Amino acid sequence: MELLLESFKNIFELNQSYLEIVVLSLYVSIFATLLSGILSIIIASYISTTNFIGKEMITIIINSLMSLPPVVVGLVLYIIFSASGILGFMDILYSPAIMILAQFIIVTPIIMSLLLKCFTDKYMYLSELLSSLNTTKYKTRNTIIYETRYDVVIAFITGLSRALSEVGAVIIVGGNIDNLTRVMTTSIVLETSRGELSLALSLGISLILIALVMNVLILILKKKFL
Amino acid sequence: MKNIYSINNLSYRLDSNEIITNISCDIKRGCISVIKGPNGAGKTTLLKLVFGLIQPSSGKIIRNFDQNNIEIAYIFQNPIFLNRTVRENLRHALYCKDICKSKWNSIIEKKVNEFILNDFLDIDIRLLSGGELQLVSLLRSSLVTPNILFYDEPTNNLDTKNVKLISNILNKYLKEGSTIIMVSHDELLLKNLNHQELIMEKGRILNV
Repeated sequence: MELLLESFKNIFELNQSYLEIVVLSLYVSIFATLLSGILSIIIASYISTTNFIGKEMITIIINSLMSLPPVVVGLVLYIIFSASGILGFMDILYSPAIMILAQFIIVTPIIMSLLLKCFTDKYMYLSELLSSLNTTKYKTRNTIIYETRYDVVIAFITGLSRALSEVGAVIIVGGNIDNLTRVMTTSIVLETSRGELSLALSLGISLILIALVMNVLILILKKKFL
Repeated sequence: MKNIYSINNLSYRLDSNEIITNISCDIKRGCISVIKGPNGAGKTTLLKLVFGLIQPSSGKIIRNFDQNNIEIAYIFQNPIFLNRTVRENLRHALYCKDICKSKWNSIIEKKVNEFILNDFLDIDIRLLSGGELQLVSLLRSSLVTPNILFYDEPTNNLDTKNVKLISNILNKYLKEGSTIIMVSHDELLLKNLNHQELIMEKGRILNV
């Protein structure tokens, strides 16, 4: 009980190191999710409204990539961006930039797969109507995206939740450096191993609170605008 | 050219089932062509093939018009709508047809008056009855007067008053030079329309 009280005290005191960790976590994950979401909307809307050879194979690959192990993503990025790697000259290892890239790779198949499913379903329902209106492919895609806007928000939130809770890749490529690449999940791992359970717990509670706030936001958005 | 469509040896197969078998016929310009026949004869499939919603397995449809300069509309037996209000569905149709946004409201107001649907404009489409949906569907396809109108069972779920309303609208289009191709068995509607009949059975046209 004392531990729990101390954890909440950490949250409400908003001390500098706690705030830095939360802000960096949100910055990295929101940035990665936004990039991933924009790319996913473009690709998923194209795939769902176009017939081409290999469409099923691409869908299978996207779905399979959802289970991409984060530590493998981290390891591959580490090999590529380490000093002796082919992109080592970019010098982004142990920086927020490579953490964004890692989360982007992990989150993209999840968002794309969810969008592909809802865009395809909506297109199957509306395709005859849109054809009968002699509309262009561009307007067809716009209609499909607009008509599934609630599902698009859900896919973004799912992606953001996945990015925020990710630890394996960011700890490898970010290095969990204080004031530079330390995010909530990597910090929880470190503080737990150091026995600083109250700080670890307050970060864990923060993660849950963020998830809760996001879900409340979805509900409000759905009722007001969607 | 007197014929707007010339259909040559048209067939359509779905898996191993032949829905349309070797049909050849002409659709006259500026007339109403009514496709009739029992259930499962392939009437709707033929309508979709001629419009271009589905592609034939074999055969050819010659379109004697410039597709870029002609307004073609298709009205479904079970109309499909976006889950929005009637007004928003109409606005979406105008968006798809590349009509300048500044003209949307005036076009909608004018057409809604013609169809006597003023009270429905801001109602959610999901709250309308089958007959009302048919009328809104015709209204949507009429926002820009179609040169060719494909109409699948136009009077489904409609009462006598609305059948007469649709009959008047179709006659008006005919006078304006539109070509109408429709599937219908509604004698009340057909008796007021000067039309040619294509009788179908088991995927073939019997009276060519």
